[in-house]
Amino acid sequence: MKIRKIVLYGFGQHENVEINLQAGVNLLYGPNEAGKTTIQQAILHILFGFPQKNQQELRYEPKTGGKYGGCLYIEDKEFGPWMIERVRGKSSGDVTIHFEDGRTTGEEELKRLLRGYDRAAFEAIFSFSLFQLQGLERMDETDISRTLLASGTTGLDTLWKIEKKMDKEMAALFKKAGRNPPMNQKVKELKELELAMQKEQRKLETFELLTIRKKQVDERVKALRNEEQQLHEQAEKHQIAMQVMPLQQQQKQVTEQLAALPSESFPADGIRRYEELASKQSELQSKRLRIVKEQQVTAEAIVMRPGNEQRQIERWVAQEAEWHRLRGEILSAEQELRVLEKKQQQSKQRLGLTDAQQLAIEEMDLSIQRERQLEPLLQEQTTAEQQLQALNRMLAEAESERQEAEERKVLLARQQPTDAERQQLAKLPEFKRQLDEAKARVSVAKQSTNRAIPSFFMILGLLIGAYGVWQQDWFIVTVSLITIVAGILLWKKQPDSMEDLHDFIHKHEVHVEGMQRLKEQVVEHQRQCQQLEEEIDRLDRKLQRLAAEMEQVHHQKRQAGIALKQAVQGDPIDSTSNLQENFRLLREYQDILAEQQTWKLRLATAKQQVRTWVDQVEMLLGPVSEDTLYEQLRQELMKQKASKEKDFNRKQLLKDLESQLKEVDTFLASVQQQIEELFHLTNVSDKEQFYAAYQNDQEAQLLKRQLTEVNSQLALYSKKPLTFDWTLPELERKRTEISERLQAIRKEVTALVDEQVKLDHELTQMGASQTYSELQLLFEVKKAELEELAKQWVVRKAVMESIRQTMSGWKEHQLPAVLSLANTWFSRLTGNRYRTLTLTAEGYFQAVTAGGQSFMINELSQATKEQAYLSLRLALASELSDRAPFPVIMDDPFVHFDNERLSRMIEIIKELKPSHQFLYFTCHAEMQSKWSGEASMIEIGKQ
Amino acid sequence: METIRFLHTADLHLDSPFKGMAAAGPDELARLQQSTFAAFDRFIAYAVEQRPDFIVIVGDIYDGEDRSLRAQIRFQQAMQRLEEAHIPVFLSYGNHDHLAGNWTRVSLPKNVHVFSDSVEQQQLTVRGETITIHGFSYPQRHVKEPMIADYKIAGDDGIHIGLLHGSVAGDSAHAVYAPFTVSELRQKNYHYWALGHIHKRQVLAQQPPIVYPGNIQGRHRNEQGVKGFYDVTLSREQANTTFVPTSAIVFTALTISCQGIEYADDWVAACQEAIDGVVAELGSIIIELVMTDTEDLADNLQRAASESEWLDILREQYVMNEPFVWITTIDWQFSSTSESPNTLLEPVVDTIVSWQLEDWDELMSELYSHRAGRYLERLTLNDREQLKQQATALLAAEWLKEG
Repeated sequence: MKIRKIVLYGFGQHENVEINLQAGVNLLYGPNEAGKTTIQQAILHILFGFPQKNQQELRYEPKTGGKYGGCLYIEDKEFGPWMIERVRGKSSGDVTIHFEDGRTTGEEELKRLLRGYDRAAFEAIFSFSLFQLQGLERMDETDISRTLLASGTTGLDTLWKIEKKMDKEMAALFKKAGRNPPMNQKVKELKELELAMQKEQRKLETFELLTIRKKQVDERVKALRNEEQQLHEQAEKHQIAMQVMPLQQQQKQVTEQLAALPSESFPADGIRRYEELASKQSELQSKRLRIVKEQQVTAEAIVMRPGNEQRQIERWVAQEAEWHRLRGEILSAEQELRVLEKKQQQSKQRLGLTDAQQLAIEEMDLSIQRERQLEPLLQEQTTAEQQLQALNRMLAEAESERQEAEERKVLLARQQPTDAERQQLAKLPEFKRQLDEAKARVSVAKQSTNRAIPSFFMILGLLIGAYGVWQQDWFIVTVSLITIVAGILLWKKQPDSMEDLHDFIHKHEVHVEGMQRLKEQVVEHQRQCQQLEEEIDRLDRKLQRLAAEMEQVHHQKRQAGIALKQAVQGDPIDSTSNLQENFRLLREYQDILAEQQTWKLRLATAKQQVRTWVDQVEMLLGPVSEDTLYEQLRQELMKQKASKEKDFNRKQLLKDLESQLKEVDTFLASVQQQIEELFHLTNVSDKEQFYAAYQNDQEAQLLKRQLTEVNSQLALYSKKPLTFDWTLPELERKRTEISERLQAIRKEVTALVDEQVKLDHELTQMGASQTYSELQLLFEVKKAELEELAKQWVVRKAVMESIRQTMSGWKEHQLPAVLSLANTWFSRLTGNRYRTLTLTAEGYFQAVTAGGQSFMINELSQATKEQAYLSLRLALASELSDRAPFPVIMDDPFVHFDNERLSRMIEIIKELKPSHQFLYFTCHAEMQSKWSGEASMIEIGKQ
Repeated sequence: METIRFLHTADLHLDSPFKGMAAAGPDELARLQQSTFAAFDRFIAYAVEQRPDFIVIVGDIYDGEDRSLRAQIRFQQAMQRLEEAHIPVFLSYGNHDHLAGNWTRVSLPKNVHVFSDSVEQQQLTVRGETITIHGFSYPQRHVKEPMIADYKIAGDDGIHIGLLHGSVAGDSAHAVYAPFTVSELRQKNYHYWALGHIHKRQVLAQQPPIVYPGNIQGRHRNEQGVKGFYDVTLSREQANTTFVPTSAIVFTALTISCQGIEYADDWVAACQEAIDGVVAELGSIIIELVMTDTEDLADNLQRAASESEWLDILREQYVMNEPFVWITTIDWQFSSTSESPNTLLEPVVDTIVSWQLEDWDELMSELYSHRAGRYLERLTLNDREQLKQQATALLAAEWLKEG
């Protein structure tokens, strides 16, 4: 790539400048300020863009403000001729690329045309000033390698970046010892899954074991069930044996017992028949005994009275009525006598008789005539008595009336008015008068009486006094005192008569009233006294009259009494008090006495008769009481009769008994005969034997029944007879064994069945379990995912690795080539003073002399340092000529060179001329001669 | 001559985990987990419905030598069903479920006839025709020596069927298991060769039929397409094979042109349309998408989100979708017309391109030596190419971003 022409529209100091360049070395000369650097910058600016306004680099905008920018005409082996124009526009300027065929493009195409190089990369190799040659000592292998590999192209950085990024992404995917990157996680998951699968598999492996176990269990259960069945059957057999064997034993026992018993026949109901007969016999015997006994009893005779006695008794019995009559008479007479006695007593008491009087009375005259004589005398006496009593009563009455009047009189005398009262009464007219007077005065006084005047005097006096005190005029004071005294006196003098009068009137009015009432009372008293006097007089007269009357009656009565006394002088008792009654009582008394006499006589007769009767009877019957006489008699009679009858009956009975005895004896004989027959039938001689035979028979019957029973029970079990080899204890033991065994079996079976169920369940579950396949599937998924990630990782690794490999390829192949070229040139430049430029172990450059001495770059002289660096740069440019055939732009880098080394340098550049265009800017005119026609000369600022 | 009918299947790989299902959630996993069983159930349902005379299963019934217990139980239950339907089953175990494996034996019903560890014959009579079945089970994981020599040459008696779990000699794509050649098989004069081991369905020869039925359910991206088994009608003279699909989920790939698509929503719509088309044809799918003609779209997509985000966006369209759709990857075929030739980048790219397999392994060595290495598969040629492309693309992208 070569710059054919530079056209600047306006750039720094250059305006409308056109510079034509040659293919080889172009020497651009100009003194200071000619604009050499400006042109150099213009080339870079046009190719890589104007610097940003805020950047350090100058933009070289024309100060005149004219058109900014320019264009480069370029020859390019690869792309043909093209022109680049950059003018003001966006900050980096607007760029247009024109091709020969008229095609125009922009930035993108430019990138390609510039082989991906940016300004920095370009400057690093192809554009340098003296200043830029510095710093080689700071470069190490890496830097140089980098610079070398693409000489700082953007692309290289991108590759580096990609490589780094890939590395990072790889690390993000997978880390060898990592845990978090997805691949590590996947691996972990896979590992876990694998473990889970193994676990699951192991679990499933138990399936077969379980199946085997299940089979075993099934078989065992079956075997046990069989055994159980057999045992059950056996147990059943034993059960039967248990029931049959005792029966059999019983059967045997009974048969033996039966055989032991005597086999005599016993009549069917022999015992009953015997017992009937025996009871009949005993009955008959006892009957007979009774009859005999009765006979003996009946045989005794009965005692009876002789006939005459019996007849006498019958006679007496027939006369019973007579006897009763006599007895009744005695009783009634006694009764009557008792009644009369009582009556006599009553009368005696009534009459109040003494025993002497009693006898006298029997002789007393109690005729009616005498009664009539006495009666009037009695009457008279009684009447007088009655009159006397009446008069007495009247007299007492009059006397009490008079007593009463006397008492009233005393009372009145006590109510008589006192002397003081009488005096007061005498003063009464005086009072009345005073009172009237007072009343008159009161009515007058009411119109006058005023207190104003004394008051006036007193006030006046005070005023005058006050004035006087004020005037110190003692005279006036004195006058005032006088006036006051006058006032006071007047005040005092004023009568209180008005009040006194009123009091007076009031008091005396009351007094007068009391006096009036007293006067009236005195008058009334006097009138009553008078009345009482009159009454007392009247009563005195009446008393006198009654006393006279009583005297007269008393006399009459005394006379009647004397007459009566004379009439009754001869009587034992005084009968005068109640004449009629007395007479009647006395008469009754006389009657009673007579009757008593009669009845006493009758009683004696009756008693005599009864005594005689009783004596007769006693002779026959022994002592008897009078009262029960006839009862005994009747009893005796009855007894006699009964005895007679009894005797008759006895004789009859004896006859009967005789016949009965005969009959019973016949029966007994027959019964005895029957018993005998029975005994004969049973072949025994007495009762005990008969009963023993019966007992035997009963036992035999019982045993036979038992046997039948046992046989029937046995028949239930089996038709044919069963035989067993065991004894009962054996059987018992066996039964226990079996039941124990059965229990054990049941227990085992239960456990096994449980296990069966469990196994079945487990097996079913395992069979249906998806877990393993799920895990497997998941495992495959994870595996696929891991693979996916692994692929991503590998792809990144491939990218990274390819970049690394490519780079290291460059480094390993191109760096040595560059170094060897640089060595050659460096050696040439220094006239073989230094043989090589090598890299230390640390990667730093050092120069080695022909003698083998090594110098670090900073140990070299300034010029030698620059030469080393130039060698390296040019070697780089040369090496990159295929990929980056850019012109080399230099800004006076040789100024420190001595002539010899300069000419050697020029030699080297000449060699490079065919592959690279050189633009050499210098301010040293002598440089032209150095190049000696090898370079086309262009003077800046001279066009 | 009697015609018999039987079903030929192999490589059931029951309860096999699906490989390469990165980022799948629990719902997806549950679905996948069921899929081998679902396929197997279809097979059994078909058998029970169609009542073939018998069934042959040629190895790899279970995926792991540990034989998932669940798988065994399911298999046993299925065999029980066949037993009830009076369908005999002849089966041999393969390298995946070889006899030396540490697995729990679940007792199989009587209709199941298992071949022992050395070649043997089993016979049955169908409508008077004697059928002899030859086969063996893998005694251990690796049977590298050819077993074909032990197979007896058929006589004239009835129909002969060979069961062989192995690979054709010289096939470098698969590890060598009981290798054989087609001509070796032919020499046995059997009427049908029921092969197993290779998961890709293929008929190696027609006279007699030498058939790989493939597996019944694809399990990763390398087992694409509809999977199933063969319903075989066979007489001494003639054979007729019918493929019966069983796969519950089909692995597939789809290339979508993005020509003229500029915006993301258009792109999503286009993808959906294309995917729906596939779903309509195949039902439930696990699909890889390849985007071509992305020039118009590229900038938009690149700027808006990363590739994985676009994958997520598209996946979201099919969450809980029925039929099941899972998009594993989107391959963006960006044309590498990147800018101008870069002087700096070129040597780097050249470096990447120049790497050999060992170099890649070297790159991986850090991972391989780590315990993560245990879980990583070795790089295949394909992987290497892919990685190369991805590395280059990444470099270019980063260059662009940084530059």
